[in-house]
Amino acid sequence: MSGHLSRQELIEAARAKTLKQNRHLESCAECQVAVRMLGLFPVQGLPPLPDAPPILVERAAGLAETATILDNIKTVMLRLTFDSWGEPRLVGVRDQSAVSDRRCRFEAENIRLDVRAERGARQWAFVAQVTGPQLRPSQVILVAGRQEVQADSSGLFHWTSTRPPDAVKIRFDELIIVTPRLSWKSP
Amino acid sequence: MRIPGGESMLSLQDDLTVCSSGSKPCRVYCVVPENDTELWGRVLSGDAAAWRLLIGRYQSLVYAVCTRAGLSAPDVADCFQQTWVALYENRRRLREPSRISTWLVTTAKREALRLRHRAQREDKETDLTETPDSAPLPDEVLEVLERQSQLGIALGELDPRCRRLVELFFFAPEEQTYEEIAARLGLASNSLGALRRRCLDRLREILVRNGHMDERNETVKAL
Repeated sequence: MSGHLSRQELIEAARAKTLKQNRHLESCAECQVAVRMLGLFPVQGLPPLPDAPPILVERAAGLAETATILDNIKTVMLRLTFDSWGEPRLVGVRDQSAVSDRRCRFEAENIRLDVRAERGARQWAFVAQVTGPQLRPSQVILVAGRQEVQADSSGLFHWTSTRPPDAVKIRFDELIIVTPRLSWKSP
Repeated sequence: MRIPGGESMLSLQDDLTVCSSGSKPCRVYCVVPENDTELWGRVLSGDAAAWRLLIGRYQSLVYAVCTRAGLSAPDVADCFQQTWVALYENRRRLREPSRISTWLVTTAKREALRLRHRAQREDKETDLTETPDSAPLPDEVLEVLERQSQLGIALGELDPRCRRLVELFFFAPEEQTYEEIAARLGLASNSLGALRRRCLDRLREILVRNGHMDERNETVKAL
């Protein structure tokens, strides 16, 4: 005889959620380990889960195998839906801020990119925000020219540059989101 | 050692390799399967083999949920397929790959109840205002199914002797004595307790590595 508790005794100890009901259990590390496991996984005596029919498994596995390259490396072209430089200004009003400051909004497939640019004495300063149902700012990288920018804790991208970018690109997993080419000739 | 093939090389587990660790020879396993998070990373990179491994890991769980709902055979097939389609289509939105089994159970349940409701509506004798009956899939049953699945995966990663011991001890339909189990494993019955402890320790390590058990307070991860 081993002296250890039987399976039924271990199960009962696990159900009782205490190791202090049995003198053997109090001093037997081996049985204590078994009781803990039985308490966490109360599936003793159950048969293993049956496998699905192979034909169903094959059909499900085929989902990834039939996916095209476009499914995995997807490029989304944004369209410009608002450009403050494209808005008509009041006749006769001279306002330098309208020229040194530009706001643009790009949209496509529930994705929205807002960019604000300010021309300083020596360089441009940019702030951008990208939103979309599947986009998490912490995992998005914004590419402007040669710069790769990561979002701050608020989900905003900040960067400066001596010249504004021709286009902005967003990378998220395999998804690439691109703006159309931008002209930076002052209005 | 981890190899990219992960579970596709699981058959190698039956072959123990003897290697040297310091001055003492030790028995090691050639393959450590990837956990769900690692596997999911490969799925996101478009690795069809990783997707297939993931399905192999959880196909029995999804199938169990779909069959427990009391669906017809075509609806079980539909429930199974739609659950995997939903996972694939939402693959970039899955925030916690370590909880993929919970995601699958929830999705399969939702899909099963939708199909049940549809079948009930099509049945002329059923009251059209009746709401879907979730009775066949109570949360306690789903939790047990998920635990069974997690334990089954971990058992598959144990060495053959430990796997056999745990199966004989805990999963045999009828309880067996220590002497009977020892005889079937060709061991002395007085060594069984210590071996059982070592095997359960290994099982616990695998469950922790797979993200199905909390190492510090020895609790299962919340479902």
